[in-house]
Amino acid sequence: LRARCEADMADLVLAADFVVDAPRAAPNYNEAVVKKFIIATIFWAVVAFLAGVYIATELTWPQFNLGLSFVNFGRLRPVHTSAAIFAFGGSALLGTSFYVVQRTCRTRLFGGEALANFVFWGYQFFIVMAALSYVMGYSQSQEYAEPEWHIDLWLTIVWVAYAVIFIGTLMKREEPHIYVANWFYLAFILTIAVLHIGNNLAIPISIYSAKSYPVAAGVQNAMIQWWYGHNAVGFFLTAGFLGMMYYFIPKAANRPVYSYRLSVVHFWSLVFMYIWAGPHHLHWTALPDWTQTLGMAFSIMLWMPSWGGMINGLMTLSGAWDKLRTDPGLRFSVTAVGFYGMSTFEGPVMSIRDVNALSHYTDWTIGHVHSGALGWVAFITFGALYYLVPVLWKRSGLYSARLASWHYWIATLGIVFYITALWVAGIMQGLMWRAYDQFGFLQYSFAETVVAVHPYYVIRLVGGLLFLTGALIMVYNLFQTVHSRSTESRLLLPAGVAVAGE
Amino acid sequence: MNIQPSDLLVGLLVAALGLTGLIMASGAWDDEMFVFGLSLFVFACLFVLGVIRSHFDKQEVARAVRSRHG
Repeated sequence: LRARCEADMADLVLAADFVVDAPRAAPNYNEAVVKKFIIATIFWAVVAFLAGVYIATELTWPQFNLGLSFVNFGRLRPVHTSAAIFAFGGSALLGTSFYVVQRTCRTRLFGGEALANFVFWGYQFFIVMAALSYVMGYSQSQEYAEPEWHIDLWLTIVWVAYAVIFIGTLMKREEPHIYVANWFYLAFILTIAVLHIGNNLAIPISIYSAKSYPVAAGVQNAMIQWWYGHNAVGFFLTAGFLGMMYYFIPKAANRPVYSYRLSVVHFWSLVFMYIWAGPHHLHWTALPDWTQTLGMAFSIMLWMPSWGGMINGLMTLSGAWDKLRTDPGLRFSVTAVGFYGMSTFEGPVMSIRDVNALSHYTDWTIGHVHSGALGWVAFITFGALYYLVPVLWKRSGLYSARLASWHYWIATLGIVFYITALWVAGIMQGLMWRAYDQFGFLQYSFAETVVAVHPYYVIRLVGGLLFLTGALIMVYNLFQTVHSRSTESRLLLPAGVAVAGE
Repeated sequence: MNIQPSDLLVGLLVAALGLTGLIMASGAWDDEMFVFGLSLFVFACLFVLGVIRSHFDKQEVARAVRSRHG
């Protein structure tokens, strides 16, 4: 017991050192670039959710394709996924990583102002060019890696600049320790670089043409694609946002991480296991059986680190659970961790080959993805936004906690509508597709399954609309937080007085 | 001139990328490469202008501070 207590105390002291502010003069942080990324995050959130609602409408009522090539589902779907993952999620990750690395290393960003601005504007340019190419009909037809070679090269340049800034800042840190959130951000940066380059190796037919041919073909191409695809989930949508969790939940709760040691175990086990899980996307395909089994086994093993991290995030609230009543931003963060636990339970279940035989190619997968994307990624980001906007714009607090609370409940209801509708639709689709009659013929035509899921598509659309409504409430609330006189900082200091803390 | 070396390096790199964009647009075989190349050129022009403006803004502030303190 004594050893346990000592270990816990060591965790507490260690974590407190790096998360709770020490009274030292703050360096001249580069907050301008963080602010730009926060504004971009809010803007792209609305774009991504709006595009999602529109394509959900197209699925429900195909007339909304309008007979126009550039707004048909096939072209707008990657606009939605890229806007959600790379534009909204990516801007949030880049912005918060710049904020967190400066704060926890107590030093200004490495590389100067122009380099940081290049990462911001270069990343936004990538997003706009990618979206434009999709609606114009250019794509290399690989999920979440649709942009053609020239846009991939541009992203590589921007990403290297981002890595230089982040790693350079870590190297010139004023703190002896690298706080665990930075480890997660670093894994996100390095692994995404390797995945992006590995999956996009292609030979263009000319530097004057957007068309290229991938280096790998057939099942090798599929394997590399899902090595990339699943680790985009693992390192972009999980590791990066865990970095966010490990900084913003302790800050908002004003408590140290529950167990710093567990966070380190969480990190190493997660990064080791995730990288092998990709083949579960290719069950029952031409991929060798042993590879499929490997992917399945590692996916199931991922339960442990994922739930270890979830428990660590939730238990950080120990002694501060009352804050959930008064801090809607923290409520978003904690609910996000709950959804993280739920979707990292559901994912391994779906990776089991026999479950996958039912779930694959159905809307169950879409429901699963959205419980992670809306419940985990978007909610942890909303929590960070509600924390960061008053801090960055030096305001006394949020314009309206009540509006944030409305956002929380409307968005939560939206997610529940969305995922439950697609669970039912997906399982029904899977069962209908595999049903045989007494003569051994398929019992249902594909068109019959489409008709059967129609009501659930309407419910999904309602869920998406609710989520979008919540986001619009957030935009208004954050805009007012920055501009309203009611949130002006009440701390009046004479010019020249040094301000302690961050 | 007191130019930050990192800012100069980034400005030159982006200028070179902008020129590459212009070359790609000039011989484009398809609409995508034409749009991308021209957009890259416009992006590079605006970005480099921003770097130059930021440099002179900082110099102006430094001059103002120096004159205020005599």
